[in-house]
Amino acid sequence: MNTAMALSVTGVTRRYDSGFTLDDVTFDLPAGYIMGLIGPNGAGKSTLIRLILNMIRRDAGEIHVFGLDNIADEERVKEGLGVVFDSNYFVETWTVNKVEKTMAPMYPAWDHAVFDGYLKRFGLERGGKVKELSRGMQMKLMLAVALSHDARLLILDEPTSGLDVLARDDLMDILQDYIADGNRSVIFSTHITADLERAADFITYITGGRLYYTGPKDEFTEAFRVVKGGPDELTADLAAAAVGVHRYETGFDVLVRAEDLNRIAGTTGVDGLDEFRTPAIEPASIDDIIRLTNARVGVDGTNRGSEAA
Amino acid sequence: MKLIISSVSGEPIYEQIKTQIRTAVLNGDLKAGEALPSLRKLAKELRISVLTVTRAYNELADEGVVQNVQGKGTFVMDKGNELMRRQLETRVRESLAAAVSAAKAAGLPLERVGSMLAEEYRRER
Amino acid sequence: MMTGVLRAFGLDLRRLGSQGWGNLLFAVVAIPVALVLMSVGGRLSSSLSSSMIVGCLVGAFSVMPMTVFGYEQQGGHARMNGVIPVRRLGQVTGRYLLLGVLAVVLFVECLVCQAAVPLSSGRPLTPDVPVVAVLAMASYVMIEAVAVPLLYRFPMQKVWLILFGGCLVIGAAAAALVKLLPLVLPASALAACARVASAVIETLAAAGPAAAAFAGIIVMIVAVVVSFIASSRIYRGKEL
Repeated sequence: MNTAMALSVTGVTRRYDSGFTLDDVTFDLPAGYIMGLIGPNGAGKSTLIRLILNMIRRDAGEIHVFGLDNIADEERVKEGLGVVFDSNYFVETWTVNKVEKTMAPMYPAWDHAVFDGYLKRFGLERGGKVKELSRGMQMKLMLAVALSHDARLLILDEPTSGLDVLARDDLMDILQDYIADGNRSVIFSTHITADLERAADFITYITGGRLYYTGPKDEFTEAFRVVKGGPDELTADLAAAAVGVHRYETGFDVLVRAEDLNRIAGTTGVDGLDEFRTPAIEPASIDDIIRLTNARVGVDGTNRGSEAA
Repeated sequence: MKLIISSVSGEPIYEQIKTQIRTAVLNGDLKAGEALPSLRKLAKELRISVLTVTRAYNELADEGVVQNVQGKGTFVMDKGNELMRRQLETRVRESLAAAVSAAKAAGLPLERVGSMLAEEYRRER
Repeated sequence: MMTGVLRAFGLDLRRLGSQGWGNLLFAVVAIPVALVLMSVGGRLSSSLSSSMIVGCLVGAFSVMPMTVFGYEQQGGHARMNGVIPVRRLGQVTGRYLLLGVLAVVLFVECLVCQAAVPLSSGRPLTPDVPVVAVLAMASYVMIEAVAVPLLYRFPMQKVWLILFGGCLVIGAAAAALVKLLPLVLPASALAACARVASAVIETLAAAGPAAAAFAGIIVMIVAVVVSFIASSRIYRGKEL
């Protein structure tokens, strides 16, 4: 097993009675980088995280963390994991101090001074009860715990939902600090893609339970363009090349693969916003890609549901 | 060395980094043998991804402007700025060649081309 | 494995004390003190005292593990079990270890109460003190042996329903049986049953309190083993 991989997920599948299936997902996260796990709500991101933590049953595949099997070596793996969920996981009547008293014995590498440092940095009082903390402070408490035992992989499940811009910014700062030594890694699932636009190194994009893309973030965004134009400019070959379409009263947005640009008549195949010519070709943001790969409307206006090209 | 990222320029971030580093080398802000900021430190300060900076540094290394030394960092190549100066000279020559053939096709005399060149030179910046 | 078990034990202990250690202190200290006061005040006859002691202690201690499960089912706290570096089996073992420790505490406290109550009102100690303590411990253990797997499997409210419902059903069935049997079986069969029953009771009585205690311990061990296996199976398959 390649131990330069912080996380290695191979062929992981989980079937639910409801019919939803997380199907054959494979990706790797090399040590020292930040990976964003993205996708619309219900796509399977939280399922994936719970599978990594062995909180739910896995139907197929393997998961390795630091080269160790996540089930066979569960305790060793979890000693090196820091976890932050979208909501508090401590008993609500505990004080911050009691949280440390409870968590410290779990981890051989617990560092009291480091935890103290984070409490001060985040403004957490030891005597305060967990239930009295705001949502953002509760997240910071989980984060303080996650960062205080020399964990090599941080797993965050929607840590920023419900937080304001400043708090999210703070978090990204901390995460970039965390990976600065090149040995520690982060994977975090979010549907607030603004957080990832700059600092994420890798993207794993899951939609409808299937893997749509995994790899460097720059390659992901550079692989697509958004073509915008007036209602009459949605030509047949543009629609054919479209990975996703959004029509509205005054025009359309179409997502195409960059490599397909020169096959579309009516565009010069050249990027540029020199003047506002239409169809305009613009870089695709992560948001654009997610938004447009989850809907497809044909030229005749019929809805074709979600599609993965 | 000045290095800032524009989020609205439309130019990919790694290209912006490359351009600014090349400029710094050209005008001597970065001297031969000098170390570039560490990959991760730069990524953190500019608040961009580590991979993006890595790509910029690697592509500059491929161009011969800088050199990646395993375990030590990235350093400006000796004659790095000479190399770029020569590359730019080549580009000047190529652009001039293109301009000249267009001028001949349009029937413009040399003096006209010369004065247009002088205008352009004075105008820029 | 052992490290995991100890970690889980520590966590469950902390969960137990989540409302403050006052609650636990109440069970451990207040009950004996109250009983002694009642006895000194002449309100506790010697025949009543044993059952009072056992009843109060078993009642108070039985509820404690439920507190632990209760917290686990509260809000996001169940997810903590997925975060801590302890395997499922280790978590179950740690909890049973806690139950065992509580059983021992119960046993000791029972002995103490049984000594303190008569002594405080000037009465002699009865010879069955250790047996009563063992039986108290056995009752607690039996209750938990049944309740714990249920608590792993079902939410709290459902477990209460099952336990009370189960008691009611068993009680009603026993009463019905007693009423119906004479109507169904001929007199000779009934007489034979009665003879067998009294023979068994006489043998047990003749064997003495030590034998009763020993039998109690065997039953306890079997119950705990079966309960532990059931709990582990249930919890292994549980999704957090």
